[in-house]
Amino acid sequence: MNVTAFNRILTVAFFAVLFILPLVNSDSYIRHISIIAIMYAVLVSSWNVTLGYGGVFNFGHMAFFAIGAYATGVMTKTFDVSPWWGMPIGVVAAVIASVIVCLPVLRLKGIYVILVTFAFTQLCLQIVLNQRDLTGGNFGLVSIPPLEIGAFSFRDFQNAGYYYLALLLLVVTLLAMLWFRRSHFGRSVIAFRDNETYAISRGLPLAKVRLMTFMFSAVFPGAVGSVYAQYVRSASPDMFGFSFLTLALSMLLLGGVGTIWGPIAGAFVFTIISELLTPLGPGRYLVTATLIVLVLRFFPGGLAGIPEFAGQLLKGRSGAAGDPAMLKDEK
Amino acid sequence: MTPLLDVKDIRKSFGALQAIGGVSFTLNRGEILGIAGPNGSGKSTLFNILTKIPFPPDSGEVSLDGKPLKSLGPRQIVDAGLLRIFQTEMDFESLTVLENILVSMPDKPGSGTPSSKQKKADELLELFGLTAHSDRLAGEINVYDRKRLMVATAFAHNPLVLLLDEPAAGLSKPEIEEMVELIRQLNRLGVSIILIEHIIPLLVAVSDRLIVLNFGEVLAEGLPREIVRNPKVVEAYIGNQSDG
Ligand SMILES: Nc1ncnc2c1ncn2[C@@H]1O[C@H](COP(=O)(O)OP(=O)(O)O)[C@@H](O)[C@H]1O
Ligand SMILES: [Mg+2]
Repeated sequence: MNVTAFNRILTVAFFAVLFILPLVNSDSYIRHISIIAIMYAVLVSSWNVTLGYGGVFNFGHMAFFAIGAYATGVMTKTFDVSPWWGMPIGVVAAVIASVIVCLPVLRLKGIYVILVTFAFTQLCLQIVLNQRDLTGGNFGLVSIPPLEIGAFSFRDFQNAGYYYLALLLLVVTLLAMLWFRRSHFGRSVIAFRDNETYAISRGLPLAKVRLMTFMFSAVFPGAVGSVYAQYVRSASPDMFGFSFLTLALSMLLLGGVGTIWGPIAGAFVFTIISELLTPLGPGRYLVTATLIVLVLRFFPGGLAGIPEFAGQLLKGRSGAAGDPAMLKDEK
Repeated sequence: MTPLLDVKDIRKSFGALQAIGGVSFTLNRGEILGIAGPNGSGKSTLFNILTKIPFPPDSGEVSLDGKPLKSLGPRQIVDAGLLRIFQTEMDFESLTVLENILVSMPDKPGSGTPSSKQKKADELLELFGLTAHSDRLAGEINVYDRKRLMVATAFAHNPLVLLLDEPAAGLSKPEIEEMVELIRQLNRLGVSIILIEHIIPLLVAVSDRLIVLNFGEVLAEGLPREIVRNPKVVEAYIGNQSDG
């Protein structure tokens, strides 16, 4: 059996399990954790577009998620727009935000990009805290209208509606990432990460590619932010916070940047481990941090590097596998 | 007939150092123009300022196919048909060899369907002897293949003029012979070429005309076999060597 066939079988099995899970298990705690893990997978996969494939240290990605959530909340709650418009609103708001944050960093590199994008996140947070009438300020925006079809609420059957909606988003995200990696657009993004001067010398447009990268990557957090707000029926300022950002970053690094499956694996493994370790209290941060260091020590490419590593072992070659290329041209 | 590339009095200084001082020359259609000169004489800087990658000349005029390049940015110059390779190997290391070529092909509306591009890329792989490496990562192939790939990606963008900066540096003897044959073949396919080369016999063998740079200025210009016997040229090389 070749690698592609094996990957395909694994992919189908993975989604089959996720599809069947709610049918065989209706535990509300497991349901909640699954929804969160799926949403993280969407968030981290799309962050991988800018941070992994693009090598652009965009620390504003979680702000796109928060903006999607707040935009949906404000429009559907305060302005009485139908909740079904929530997702389009979230996506449009996040994409607009991505354009705003991208313009100042169109030609910047490395640490400066971190600075600007993180400052943008803090700015958004300040706006949310100040516009209390609209956003609920410190307390967050609550009682966001849920999704309903006639008498059926997406909250029925332990949030089955939200579970399957999130799963659908993950499938769409994965398909989008597979398209991205094979498209001229995706190749251009990687070309700029690998060698900017060379890319320009082959006629590739830096500013246009970077802007499109930001806009494309913002679609997914916008959508998932909207659904998250409708699922928990609230949006909170914590969504702009540093700990949320580092959590997602840990998932991305643990899973493996610049790969299709790494971010998804990272999101699931990390969410499950964090939940298993909850009894340890604050000590769990120590354990997860150690875990990340260990994984990255032996697999610089993250979890996504393990199959390749195993393959090399089978072939009798040694050495760690993976593609830590993103760290290369940003030093 | 107007020359394909017309360079008039271009200059470039780095602080007090004048890297290119008032260089003028022309390149005719179908020609291979060789550029020789000791280390540090400004050859690579000449390519840099012609393409504006990474910086334009301080002054002077360049026109390609009758079109002035003054108001164009680096990418527009590339699209106008002035393509270069770099002295040190460059590649998109985490893309495959095939993807390196595909991403370098023009991407304008009407520049071809995905399948026609794929077909053209396959032909280029064949032409440059890279078919066997098609699916390998560019960062994993050897120096010679990477040099050829760098020329192939330039050729993939439909150049009128190819600027080759020491394409034979670091290659073995048989590889150099193949590279010479490749350059001739590209020229037969209709591309005009400016060739910077350290290996003088190679330059003499392929060039129609030769320019020698020294301290950023044209020291001599003419037919290759005459140029290498020019006492000024001989002295520039020997003098430079004894300076270290
Ligand atoms: N970016 C730069 N900054 C400062 N000096 C440079 C730069 N590029 C080239 N030089 C200087 O310009 C001169 C010409 O360099 P170069 O064009 O690379 O020579 P060649 O290719 O003929 O060996 C050298 O003295 C070199 O040190
Ligand atoms: Mg040089």
